[in-house]
Amino acid sequence: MQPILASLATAAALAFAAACGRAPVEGARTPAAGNAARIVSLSPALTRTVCMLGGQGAVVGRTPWCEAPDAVIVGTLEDRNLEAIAALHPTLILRQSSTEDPALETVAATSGASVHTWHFDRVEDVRAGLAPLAKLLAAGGIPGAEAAARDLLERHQRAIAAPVRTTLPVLFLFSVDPPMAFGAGTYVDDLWRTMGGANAISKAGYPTLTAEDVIRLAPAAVVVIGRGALPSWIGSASPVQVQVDAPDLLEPSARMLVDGPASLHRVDESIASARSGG
Amino acid sequence: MSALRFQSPIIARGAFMFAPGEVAPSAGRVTVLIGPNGGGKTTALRAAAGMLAPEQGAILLDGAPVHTMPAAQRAARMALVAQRPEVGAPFSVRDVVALGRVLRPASPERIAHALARSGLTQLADRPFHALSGGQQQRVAVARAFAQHEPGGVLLLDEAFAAVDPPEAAALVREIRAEAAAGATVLAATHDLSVASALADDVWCIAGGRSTAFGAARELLTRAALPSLLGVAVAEAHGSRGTIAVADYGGILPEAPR
Amino acid sequence: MMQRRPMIGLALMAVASCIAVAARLLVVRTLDGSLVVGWPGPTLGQFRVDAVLVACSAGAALGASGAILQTLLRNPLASPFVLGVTSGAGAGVAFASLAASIAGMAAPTGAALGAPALAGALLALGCVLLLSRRHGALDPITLILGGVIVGAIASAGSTVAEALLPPERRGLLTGWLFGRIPEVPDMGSLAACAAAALGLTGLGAAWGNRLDGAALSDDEARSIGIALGPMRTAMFIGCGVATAATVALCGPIAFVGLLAPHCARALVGARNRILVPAAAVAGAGLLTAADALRQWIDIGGGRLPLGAVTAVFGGVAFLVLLRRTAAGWMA
Repeated sequence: MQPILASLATAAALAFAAACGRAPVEGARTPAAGNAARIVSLSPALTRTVCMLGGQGAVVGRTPWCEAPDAVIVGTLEDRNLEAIAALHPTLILRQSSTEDPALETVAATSGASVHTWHFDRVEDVRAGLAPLAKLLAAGGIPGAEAAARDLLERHQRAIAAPVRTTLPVLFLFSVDPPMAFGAGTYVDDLWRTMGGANAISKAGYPTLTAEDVIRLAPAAVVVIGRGALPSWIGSASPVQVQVDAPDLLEPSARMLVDGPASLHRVDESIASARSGG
Repeated sequence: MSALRFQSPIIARGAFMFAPGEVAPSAGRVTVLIGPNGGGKTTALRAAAGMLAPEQGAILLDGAPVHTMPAAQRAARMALVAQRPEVGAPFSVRDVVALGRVLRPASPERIAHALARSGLTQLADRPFHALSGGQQQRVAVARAFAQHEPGGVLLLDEAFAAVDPPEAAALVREIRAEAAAGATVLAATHDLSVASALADDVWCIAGGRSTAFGAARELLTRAALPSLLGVAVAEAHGSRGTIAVADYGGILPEAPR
Repeated sequence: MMQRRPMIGLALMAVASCIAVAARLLVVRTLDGSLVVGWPGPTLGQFRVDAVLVACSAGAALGASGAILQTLLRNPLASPFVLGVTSGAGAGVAFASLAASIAGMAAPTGAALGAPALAGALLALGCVLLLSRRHGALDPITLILGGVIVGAIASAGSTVAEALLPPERRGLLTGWLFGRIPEVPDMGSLAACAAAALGLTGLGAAWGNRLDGAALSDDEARSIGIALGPMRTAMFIGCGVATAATVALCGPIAFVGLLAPHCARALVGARNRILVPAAAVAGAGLLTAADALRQWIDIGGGRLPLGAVTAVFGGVAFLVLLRRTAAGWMA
C-alpha cells in the first residue's frame, strides 16, 4: 500500500513540475526562433530612436503616441497592459523612467525578455544611451545598428559645432497657457548653450510661469515650440517672438540630437532677421 | 369672508383615491378632520391648499379653483401648516415667522404679535434648528398667524402633534379666536382631546371618502366615534361641554365598518 | 438693530476681499525668489488688474451660485462643484476640443468655450435634478449623491476626451482642466462672466425674500405665495449660466462655490437678500486670495496650480467651518 501511494505522489509531483515548466519553455522558444529581436517600447522617444537605428521592423509593441504603425498598442509607461505585453513574447522591453517596474520585470522573466530603463533628460543622457541601445539591437539581429549609432553621433557633433548668432538670453516655451519653459539642465537648454546661446531661465527643470514672470524676464526673444496661436501678450514680453513647429525639440530622442540643432539654427536665423529688421 | 368648498373632487395617488364628495367647511367655524392614518386627512388639506390638481370636480376658494390660482393671490387668503415643519436654512425663529409675510408688507409689530400668540416671544432670536419638535411646530403655526388675514382660511395638518399640553391649550384658544373673527379653519388631528377642544364641526375621512360630516357635539361622542375611528371612547365634562377621550383599554361596542 | 448687524458683516467681508485684491495687485514673488511689493507700472500692472478682474468675476459668480443653490436645495453641501455642474461644464469643453480635433479644426479657446461649457453645465444640472426627484420633491441626500456621481462621470469623460486627443493638443486641455486665473483673459469671456456674476447676484438679492421662502418645505413654500417651479427653473438656469461662464473663463474651480456662502452666512446671517451679495463678495475675495497665494509660493516647479490652492485651503477652511457651525440645518 505505502509504496503505491508514494509512487502515485511522485508521479503527481512530476506531472505538476512538468506542467509548471511548460509555459516558460514555450515562451522562450518563440523568440529564440531566428534570434530576432521583438521590441516592446513604452516610450515614444525610445521608439523613434530604435527606428533611427534601423530597428523599425522589430518593434512589436508601443504606446499610442509612438510612430510605429505596425506595432500593437500595449498601453503607456504607467498604464501598461502586462498580459498584452506577455502575449507579444518580446525579447526587449524598453522604457523611460526614473523608477523600476517589478511587475514588468516578472512578465519579462516569464517570456525570457530583458527590461531596459533609461532616463533621458539632458543631451548627454541621450548620447550615452545610443551605444548600449544599438548593442542590444545588434544582438537582436539588427546588424547595422551600431554603425547607425556612430553615424548619428557624428551627425550630432557636426550639427552642434556651428555656433548660433544670438548670444542674448532667449526664453524657450513649450506651452503658452500657462507658460511653461525649458529651464536649466533640460535638453533644449543643453543644445542651445552648447551652440553658444543663453537661456533666459536659470531655474532647473520645466517651470510653470505666469505672464508676469515672462515679462519680468525680458528675454531677447521668446521662442514658442509647437503649433497653435500665440497669445498677444507675448508681444509685451519681448520685441522678438519666434514660433517653430519642431517636433524634434519636443522629445529627447536621437532625432533631437540630429535635427534639434537644425531647428535651433532656424530659430536663430529668425531671431537674427527679426532683430536686424526691427 | 372666504368660502372653501370641496365640489366632488377626485384625486388619484397610486392605489389611493381621494373622493370625499361635496363638503363645505363653514366660515367662522373650526372644522376638525379626523379619521384613520392613511385615510386622506393630509390629502384633503393639501388639496384644499391647492397643492394637488383634481382629475374631476374641483376645490373652490370663493368660487375659483384653488389649484390654478396664482400662488401669491392664494397666499393672501389661505395659510397652510404642514405636518412636519421644514426649514432648509439656518434662520432664527423670527426669520421663519416673518416668512409668512414674505411677499406682502410686514410690520415688525405684526411679526411680534404672531410670535406672542404662539408663546414664542422669549425664543424669537433663537435658531429655529435649536428648538424641540413641539417648539418648531409652534413656530410653523406662528408663521401661519403672521400670514393669515382676518376672514381667510387656515389649514392645519397635525399642527400640535408634538406640542406640550399647556402650549397646545394656548394655541387652541388662538385658533378658535381666529375662527370667531371669521376665519375658515380646517385642522386635522388624531388627538381626540385636541379635537374636542377645537372643533365646531367634525369631518371624518376614511379610505379617501367622507364617512361623516356634522356638528362636533353630535360626532365627538361615545356613540358615534367608535364606528368612525375603530377605538373605544370615554366621555368627560370639559369647558366646552362633553368631550371625548380615546379609551385605549376599552372594548369596542361593535366591529368598525 | 436687526438690520445693522448684517450690514456690518457685509462691510467686513468687503474689507477682507479688498485686502485680498490689494495683496494680489501689489505683492508677487519673482522667479529669483524675492518678494516684490509695489505697483509694477502699466504693462505688468495691467496683467494684475486683469487677473483680479477674472478672479473677482469668477469668484462672485461661484459664490452667488453656491448661496442660491444651498438655499434652493435646502442643503448646506450644495455648490456648483458638488452638484457636478462645474465638472459637466469641463466635460463639455473637453468634448468640444475632441470634436474640433477629429474635425481637423483648431482647438476652441476664448469665447468659443462658452457654448460647450454651458451645454455641459446645464446637462449635468438637469441630470442631477432629474435623478434626485422623488415623488415630485427634491431629496437632499439623493441630490448630493447624484451630484457627486454625475460629477465623477463628467470628470471621467474629460479624462477620456483628454486621452483621445493627440499629444500636441493635449497639453492645452490638461492645463485648462486644472483651473487657472488667466492674466491675459479673453475679454469676451471676462465680460460674459462679470455680467453673469452681477446678474445672478442682482437676481438673488432682488428675489431674496422668495429664496428665503423656498427654505420651507415645497407645500409650505407654495402656501406662502412662492411660485416655486418657475423660480427654481429660473434660478437653476441662472446658476448654470454663471458656472458655465466661470468654467469658460478659468476652467473648473472647486470649493469656492461651497465655502463662500458659509463664510458669508457666518458674518451676515442667512437672509438671502443680503446673503447672496455677501457670498458673491466672499467668493471674489477667496478666489483672488487663492490666486495671490499662488503667486507667493514657489514649490520648485514654478507656480502652484490654482486648483491645488483652492482645494487644500478651501477644504481645510470648510472643515473648520463645519466643526464650528455643525451645519445642523440640513433637512
